Amino acid sequence: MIRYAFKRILMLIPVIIGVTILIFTLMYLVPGDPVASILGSDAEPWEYEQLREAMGLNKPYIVRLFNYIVQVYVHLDLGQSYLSGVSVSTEIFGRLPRTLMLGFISTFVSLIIGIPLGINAAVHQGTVHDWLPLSVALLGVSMPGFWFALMLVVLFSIKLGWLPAYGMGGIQYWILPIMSGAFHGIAMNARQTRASMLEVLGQDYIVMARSKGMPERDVIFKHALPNAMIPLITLMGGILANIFGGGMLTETIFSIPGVGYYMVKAVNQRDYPAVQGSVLMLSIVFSIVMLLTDLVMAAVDPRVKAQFASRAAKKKKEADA
Amino acid sequence: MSEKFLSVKDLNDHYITSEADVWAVNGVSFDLERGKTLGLVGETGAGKTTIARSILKILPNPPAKVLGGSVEFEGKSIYEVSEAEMQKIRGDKITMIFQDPMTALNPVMTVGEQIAEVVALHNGGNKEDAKNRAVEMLETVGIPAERYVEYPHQFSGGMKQRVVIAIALACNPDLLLADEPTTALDVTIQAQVLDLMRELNRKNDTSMILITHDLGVVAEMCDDVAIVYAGQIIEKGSLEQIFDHPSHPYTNGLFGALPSMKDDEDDDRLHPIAGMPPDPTNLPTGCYFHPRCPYATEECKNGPVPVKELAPGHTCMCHKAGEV
Repeated sequence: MIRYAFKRILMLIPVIIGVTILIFTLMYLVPGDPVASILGSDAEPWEYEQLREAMGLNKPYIVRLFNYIVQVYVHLDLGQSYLSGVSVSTEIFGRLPRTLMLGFISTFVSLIIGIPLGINAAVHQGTVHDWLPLSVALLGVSMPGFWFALMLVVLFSIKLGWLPAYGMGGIQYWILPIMSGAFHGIAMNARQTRASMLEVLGQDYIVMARSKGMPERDVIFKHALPNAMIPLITLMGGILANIFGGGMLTETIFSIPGVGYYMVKAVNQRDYPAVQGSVLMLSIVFSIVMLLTDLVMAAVDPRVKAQFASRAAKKKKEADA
Repeated sequence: MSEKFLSVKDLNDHYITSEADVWAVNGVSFDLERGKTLGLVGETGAGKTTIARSILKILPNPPAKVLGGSVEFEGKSIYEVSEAEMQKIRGDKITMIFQDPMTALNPVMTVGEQIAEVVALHNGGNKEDAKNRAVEMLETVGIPAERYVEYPHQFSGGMKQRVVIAIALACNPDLLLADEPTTALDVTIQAQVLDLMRELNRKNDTSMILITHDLGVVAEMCDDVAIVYAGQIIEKGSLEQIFDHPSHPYTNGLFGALPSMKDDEDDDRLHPIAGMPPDPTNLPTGCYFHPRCPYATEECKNGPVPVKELAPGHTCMCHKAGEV
């Protein structure tokens, strides 16, 4: 198990280097020009050329890529923002806590609300406990996240005036962003929990648990739920990724100075080091989340665990022979 | 013995869905004495499993509905006791062995825990005792105690069925409902499992309802036999009565469909029963077997079918019982 975890961590290295190359190439191919956005439209051509050379943008693609990789992985430096001149890593590490907090709290909320709703719906299949939350959930998965966020602002900030529409500050500033981030996750979790609970509740081992004289509550929580959670854990990684991805929109709508907001601004201004640095950071966060998902999965499902164990044992046998 | 051990009277179970009303069990009655084994024999879909599950009251509702009838177990009416009281009976006094050992065990729980669990539910929650008993049961069914901590996927099919049997017998039940315990197993493992069940039942004086479609298994295990067709018991009697004097055309058909080792048969072909089992959403009128019956006459097509007693304890639900 530890060996497996270690191997998975090693596998993160090529993934992250791959992401670095990919995002660098994408930014290279994207039309637009950082020099133009720094100088504005009325700059002289010689000014333009001078700055372009100073920034190293006149060099060929492969040289620039090589320089960037050396800069990031040898000097551990994400570079400076073209526009503000501030170090990208300083900016990102200052902002990352807000993005992570928003992402993890939204995910947590979507879990603690979505899963009980799903269980309740499955246990009371066909009743109002089932179709009411499920109809809302259908709405939740179908609605674009940014539109829902804007509707929240319209209702709670503009019409009712209960909560601030944007900015940073006390807890009241976090409520709307978390609500808009979590709603989709709640809907996904409720639907998935219901579906996998229903599947598990139809299994023979559930009838078996009942035939042991076990109270229905225990049948659901001790036998059905652990089995129903297995597909949910896989889904969790996706939901978290979704919430981080959606976080860009949420942060932009609510003007939260997080990594997503920074990245969107940087993309608009073709601020290459800032875009590359933030994508790199977010992809490291994703990779770690996915790794954790896999490890939790192995801890919960003995069949998955056995696969790793048998693979390790096989390797050992081959090495011995 | 004044009160009966188990008495099932006029049991009627339907599965009601939005598309159809499935007549799964249609007026089944039988009695079982303590220590005896009753074989419920019939084709797939005849309603055997539904009968067993309605004795334990574990039919999924919806869609299943018990529309009528009574089950009396040790003088108590199962359909009148509360759910809490029923939970004390299930797993302790009446237990069940499931047909498919591959799916009957929880894949994320160790087999030991799954055995200990049923013991702990009925011994007042003493975990230590439950664990000891589980280890003892594993060894009784021939599984080494150190495999207590293993998961179902680490066991073969036959081993899993042994675990299922260990769970069913862990609390020394009075009545064991064995739902095709050997159908999913290959023949050599079948014999081992049957021997094991017989030995344990004899030791604890456990009564058993054995559900099967295998007449060989019935001959080996049962004292009494009931033949189930389309949710009715069409013939029942002692093992000898049924095997030596099968009276219902369907029972005869079942025996005719068995391969024979004798050489002096007229021809060496099997005689399968013509036609298909009736659709339980749309049962025929009159005798449910008449569309497939070679002896059917006008009176079989309409009206109720009498139950005739051919010998003490041997009954047959057929107009022509004793004639064909």
